[in-house]
Amino acid sequence: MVSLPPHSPGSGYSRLGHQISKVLSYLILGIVLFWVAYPFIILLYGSLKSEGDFLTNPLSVPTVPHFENYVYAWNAAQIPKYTLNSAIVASATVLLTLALAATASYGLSQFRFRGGRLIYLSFILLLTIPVQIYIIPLYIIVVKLRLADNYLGLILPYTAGSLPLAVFLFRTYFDALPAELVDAARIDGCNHLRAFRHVILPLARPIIATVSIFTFVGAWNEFFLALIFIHDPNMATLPLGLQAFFVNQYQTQFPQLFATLLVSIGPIVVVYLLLQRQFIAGLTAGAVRG
Amino acid sequence: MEEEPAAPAHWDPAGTKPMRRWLRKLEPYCWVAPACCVLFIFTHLPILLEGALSLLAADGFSPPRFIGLNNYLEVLSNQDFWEAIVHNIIYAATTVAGKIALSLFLAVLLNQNLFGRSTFRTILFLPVVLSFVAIGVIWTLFFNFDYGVLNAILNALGLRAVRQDWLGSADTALGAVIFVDIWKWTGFHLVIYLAGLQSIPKDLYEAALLDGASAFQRFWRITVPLLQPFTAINVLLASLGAFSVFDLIYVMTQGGPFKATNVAMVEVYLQAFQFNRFGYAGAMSVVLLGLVATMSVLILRLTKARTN
Repeated sequence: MVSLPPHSPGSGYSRLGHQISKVLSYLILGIVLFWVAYPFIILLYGSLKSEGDFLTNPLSVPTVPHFENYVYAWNAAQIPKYTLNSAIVASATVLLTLALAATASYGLSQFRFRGGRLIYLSFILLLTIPVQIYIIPLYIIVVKLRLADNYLGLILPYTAGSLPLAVFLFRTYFDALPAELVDAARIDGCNHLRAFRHVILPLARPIIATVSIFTFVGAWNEFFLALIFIHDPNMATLPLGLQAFFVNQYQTQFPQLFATLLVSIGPIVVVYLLLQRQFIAGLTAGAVRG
Repeated sequence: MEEEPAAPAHWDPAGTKPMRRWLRKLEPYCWVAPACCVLFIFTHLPILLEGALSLLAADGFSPPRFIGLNNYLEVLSNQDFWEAIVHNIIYAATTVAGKIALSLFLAVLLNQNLFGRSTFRTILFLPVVLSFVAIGVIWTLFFNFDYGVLNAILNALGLRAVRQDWLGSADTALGAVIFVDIWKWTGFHLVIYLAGLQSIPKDLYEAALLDGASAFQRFWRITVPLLQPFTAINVLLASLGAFSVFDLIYVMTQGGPFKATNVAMVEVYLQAFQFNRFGYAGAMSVVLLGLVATMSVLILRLTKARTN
C-alpha cells in the first residue's frame, strides 16, 4: 500500500481516511451489538428485581438482587418438566435422523439402482416446502396413527423435516470420499454393513456434528407442530410450555416472566456459547453448501 | 470385535447364482427404505393428500363429503385470506430487504481486520439459536405499553409523545413483528455473506484499487456481483420464512389487532384447528403452496439469469 498514486480518488487507504473508516466501523458495530444484546441485558437486570422495583424503574440496575424470581420460574412455571420433554424429543430426533440419513445416503452414494435418482430428487424437492403448508393432512395422519400427545408424534415428523437436508449433506460428503476406501474394504471381505460402520462412519464425524446441531436446534425450538399435536400439559415441550405460561400469567409480573425466560433459554445459550463455532457452521451448512 | 471370517465356500461376490443376484439387486433398497418410509408417511403423503383434502367438506369427525372446487371458490371470495396474503407479501418484502441490506452492510464492515470480530459474530448469531416463542415473549414484554422497556426508554429520552401501544395498535403491530423478525435473523444472513466474502479473491480488489476505483465502486462492481449466489440463497430462505410465518405472530399478536397482522398461516390455523374446517383450510394451503413454489422458482430463475 506504500506505492499508491498521490491522488487515488476516495481509495480509503490514506492513513487518516483509514483511521476514520475504522473508528466509524467500530461505532456502527457497537450500535448493532447494543441493539442485539440489550434485550438480554434487560432480561438479566429485570429478573433480579422485585415487582415494584421493576414497575417504578424498569431500566436501572437492580439495587437488591431478588433471586426468588428464579425459584418461582423453577417451580410455578414448571420449566424443568418442559426442558426434560424437549430434551427427550430433540435427542431422539437427532439419533433417528442420523441413523436414517446416514444409511440412506450410503445406499444412494454406493449403488446405482433403478429409482435411486428419483428417490434422491424427491428428497431434495422437499427442501423448499415448509411443513406449515401440509400441516392439516399431517395432523390427520398423526391422529390416525394414535401419535397425538405422544413423543413419537413429534419425533417422527421432526425427523422427516430434517431428513432432506441431512441426506443432502451426508450424500454430498460420501460422494466426495475416495471410492477406493469402500472398494478396499470390500476386497478384504467386508460386506456393505461392515464397510459402512467401520470405514465410512468414522470418517463422517464432521457431517454427523453438522446434522446433529441443526436437527437438535430445530427440534428444541419447534413450536407449530407441538401446538397442534400436544394438548396434554405434561407432554408439552419448552416452547409450548413457555407460550402457555406467558398467556396465563398476570401481565404485571414482569420480573417472574424475565426469570422464567432466562431459565428456559439458559441451556441452549450455554451449549451455544461452548460450541459456538460448530453451532454457527452447523446452522448455516444447508445455506452455504446449497 | 470378531476377526474377519475367511471367505466361506459359497462365497460368490459377483452374484452368479440367481438367488444371490436377486439379493444383491435388493440391497440398495434396504439401505434407503427406512428413511423413505418415514419421509413418505410424514411429508410426501400429506403433500399428496392435501390436494384431495381440498376437494372435500371435512371436519375430522363426520364422514367427508366431495364438494368439487367449492372450497377454492370460497377461498377466492374470502377477503380475510387475501388480506392475509397481502400481509405476507409486505412481510416478505420488508424482512427480505431489511435482512439483506443490514447483513450485507455488516458483513462488509466485519470483513476488515477488526478487534473483537468473532465476539461480534457470536453475539449477533445468538438470536438464531433461540426459539421464536422465547424471542416473541421477550419482545412482547418490551413493546408493552405500560411497563415495556421501549416506552420507558422513550420516556427517559423525553419523547413521551412518541410512546405507542406498539402491538396493540393496528398501525404499528405489523411493523413491530417485522422488526423482531429482522432482529432474529440478521446474524444468520451475516454469516452466509461472510462466507461469500471469503470466496472473493483479494487480488480483484487490489487491481481495482490500482485502476483508481473508489470504495463505493469496488463495492458495487466487485462485491455485489460476486456475492450473487449468496444473495440468492439469502433471499430464498428469508422469503420462504416470510410466507410460512406463524410462530412469531401467534405469540406476539395472534393476528390482531383487528386482523392487522393476520397472515396466511394464522388464517389456515384458525380455519383448521379452531373451526374444524379441514377441507377449506386445505384449499388455502394449496393456494399458499402454489404461491411459495412460484416464488421459489422465480427467485432461482432471476438470480441464475443475473449470475450468467
